Amino acid sequence: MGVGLRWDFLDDLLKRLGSSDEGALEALPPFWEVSPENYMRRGGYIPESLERVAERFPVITHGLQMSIGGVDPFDDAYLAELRSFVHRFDSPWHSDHLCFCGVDGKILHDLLPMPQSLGSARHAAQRVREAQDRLGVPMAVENISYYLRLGHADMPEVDFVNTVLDEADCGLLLDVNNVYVNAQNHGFDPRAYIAQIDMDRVVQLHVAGHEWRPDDELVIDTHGADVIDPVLDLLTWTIARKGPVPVILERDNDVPSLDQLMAERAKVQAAYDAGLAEAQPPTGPPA
Amino acid sequence: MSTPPTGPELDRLRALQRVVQYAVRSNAGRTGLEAAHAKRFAGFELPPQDGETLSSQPVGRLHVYRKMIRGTLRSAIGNELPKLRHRLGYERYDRYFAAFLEAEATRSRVLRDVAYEFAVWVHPRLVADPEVAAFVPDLMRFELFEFDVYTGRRVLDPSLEVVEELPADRPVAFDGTVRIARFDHAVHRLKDIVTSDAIPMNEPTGVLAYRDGDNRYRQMDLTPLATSILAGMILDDKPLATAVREACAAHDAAITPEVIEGTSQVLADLAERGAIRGAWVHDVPKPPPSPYLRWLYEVAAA
Repeated sequence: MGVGLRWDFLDDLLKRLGSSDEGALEALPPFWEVSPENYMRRGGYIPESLERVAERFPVITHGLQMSIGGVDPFDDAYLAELRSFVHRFDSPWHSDHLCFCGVDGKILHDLLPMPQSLGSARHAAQRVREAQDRLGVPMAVENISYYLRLGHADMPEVDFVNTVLDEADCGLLLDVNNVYVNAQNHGFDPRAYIAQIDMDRVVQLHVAGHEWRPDDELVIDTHGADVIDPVLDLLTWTIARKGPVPVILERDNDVPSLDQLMAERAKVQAAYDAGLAEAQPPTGPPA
Repeated sequence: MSTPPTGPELDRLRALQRVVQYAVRSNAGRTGLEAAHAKRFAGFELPPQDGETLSSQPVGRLHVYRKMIRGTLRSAIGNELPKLRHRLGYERYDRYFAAFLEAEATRSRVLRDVAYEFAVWVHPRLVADPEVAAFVPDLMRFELFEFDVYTGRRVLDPSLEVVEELPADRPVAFDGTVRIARFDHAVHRLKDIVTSDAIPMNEPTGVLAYRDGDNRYRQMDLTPLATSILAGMILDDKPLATAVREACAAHDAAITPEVIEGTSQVLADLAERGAIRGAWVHDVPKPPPSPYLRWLYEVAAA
């Protein structure tokens, strides 16, 4: 059970890394997830801090701006820097979102939905294959939260995701909170969705908090609140089907203190452990 | 760049993505979006089914992206240019932000670059705006100048030849955090207070800054001649002798022993502080500099 590394608690984390108190270290997660775009072409305190974290913990890379669903060609300089970053931290895979981030050379810095169609899925799959080749590590795509059906859909979202996974032969970063948020906004059963996912494709999970925005009449995936119980239940249910897999708790807004975040992580860990207990076959003497 | 994909499905994707881009960037706002929504986004060359699907959903589902993305970008710029935002006031800042987004938007995949893209676009507009104080464009450039020093990557290149005495005929390798700038106002002497309303002196000035070993920002004032000499060395990789000769010619100044002595002293001081790392070996490719190095130095007159 890892956590997304955020600058808000970096000072506190470094202080603990420098501490001789073993207990301070044991309370920390066993691995961290980082977004390369926040460190690319940057020097100074922030990347130096990441180096210190990486000396003690494994790091998984999770990108924000590849624009897998985009129609503009990949940005060569971006991919070269990304490749260098991913290899520098020896990430076992690199993940990014099943979305587009801009068009006509403009980048909008958000995760924007793709039409749920066969052609769109094949386009994304071709881009994932290309990215995999150029990065030199396996790719995993993340199912995004979305608020708009962008164009006519030939298939439900889960079929769209499965098609991309099959055609690209890549991994899935299954964001359990995104499934829940989409289920609320688009009216489907989140368990039925996850039941249709090929669990052999799942290499990692995400959980996060969300908020209901009455003005928009939407549940928004803010990453700015605690994970709610129904999402924890969905995590348990998923782990019961998948078994052990790395999970990352994401928090991007209203980031609490490291202690508070670790308390939140403990709740997620408990949900994870409950799933594992359910997944494990009963042990004991044969009847 | 790879070959752009083509075909009807990609044309469809592009058209749909342009709808989202319009929703986010257009200054027509929610009203314009509602009008386009009512017309099933005619004019975007969408297949009819796609226009129907978009229009069958509440317009708020598209508008929510507008709110979120504009919020992200506005904050990203404001966080790097808080003094500019304060001096302009939120209303004028928002007006310029909206105009930037509609006319230009961002091309970088790195969020912290958005403030630079905005600054390059807005600088001539601020200069031309009679309601904006003349020092404000300098202040904005200085904010990014400082930020660039804090975030610059140090140069640690195997091609670097470190020599105790810097040769006069070879380009000097400055630390990757070194930046140099010219301003018409002494904005670098203002106290580092975001909400300060102090007015800087109208005084042409040169500043060299770098990040020390503890990642602290350090700066020094330069005379106009020293600014030109060091700019030649930092921006154009001119060897010391060439930089001195050309700068003196440009300033109509003689190459006196005082000039040589003063320049040597500055360089020795910078080397002692770690801002100079050595000298480049000839004919070896150098690491790419910050893309905004020259813009941070000075903004060419329109």
